[in-house]
Amino acid sequence: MQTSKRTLVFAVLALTVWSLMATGYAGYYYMQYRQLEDTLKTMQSLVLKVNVLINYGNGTKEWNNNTLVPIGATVFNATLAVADIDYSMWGEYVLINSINGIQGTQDTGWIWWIWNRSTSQWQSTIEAANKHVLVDGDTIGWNYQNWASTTPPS
Amino acid sequence: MRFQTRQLALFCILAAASIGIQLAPRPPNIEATSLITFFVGIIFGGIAGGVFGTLVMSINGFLSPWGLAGLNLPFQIVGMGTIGVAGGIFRRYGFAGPASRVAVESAILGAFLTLLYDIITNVGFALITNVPVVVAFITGVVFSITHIASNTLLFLFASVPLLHTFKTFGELRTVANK
Repeated sequence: MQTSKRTLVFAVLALTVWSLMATGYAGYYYMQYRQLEDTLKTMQSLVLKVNVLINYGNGTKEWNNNTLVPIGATVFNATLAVADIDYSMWGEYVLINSINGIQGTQDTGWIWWIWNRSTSQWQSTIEAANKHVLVDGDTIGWNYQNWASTTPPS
Repeated sequence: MRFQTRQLALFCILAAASIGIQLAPRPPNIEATSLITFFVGIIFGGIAGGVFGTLVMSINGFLSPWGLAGLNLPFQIVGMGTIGVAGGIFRRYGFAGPASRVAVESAILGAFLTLLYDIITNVGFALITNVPVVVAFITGVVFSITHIASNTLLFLFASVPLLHTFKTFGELRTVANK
């Protein structure tokens, strides 16, 4: 067989292998994508999307939008999902001591607020974070503030 | 397919080596049987290569460390037999050019024949499990890539030394250097 013809034959063989494997691999990724999409759809009926704001009180505000938490999750669960928190239990009520390393003091500490969708205003509450069950689309805000302050987180 | 005693001995040694490697604990889809079967085809011709592939895969189908081949066994036999026959076809065209060219050509052939083997066995899997062939191929593509990559490297680095060895022992005298 002539060298040029032989080269052509081997080039065609190599391209055949490459094209079939590349197509197969692309198909494999597409199948994985579809499976994950189906899984996500199934999961979406079991999870809530909530928004969590952390206001450090020094001008730094951290938004964690569309945080996925399981149905029945509380403010405490959602906060655990987005931040490193230190807490202590008072009986069955949780008290947040620090969020992302910012420790509460005698005068200041972490207070949580919830966005009231009907009045479009932040609303404070005396409920413990582990007692308020979230619903889909809720927005909560943690504010590092003076205990007596009534300034909302944003 | 008429063997002299010396050729029969070599055929048996290669069969034993191939079966031994095939049955040894190893990662899935990393094997030397394709290379050995291909070389048996080159040395003894396509029919002997086909018989060799059939023999090795028949034994492997029952004793493989990865379990019984079951209904996929005929497809594995056809796949490996095809590689042996391909060795016989390649024998007709001989080896041209420097060692690097022979190594690259062998690597490409190794990749192509492994792909062919995987397609044949995937068709078998599809028929047995009643899934579309394309789905069977796509599902097994990661294993196929491992198989093809390992065989490509094996053919690339082992072909030239093996050819040299068989030439030294005078087993390739019938292969034309066209």
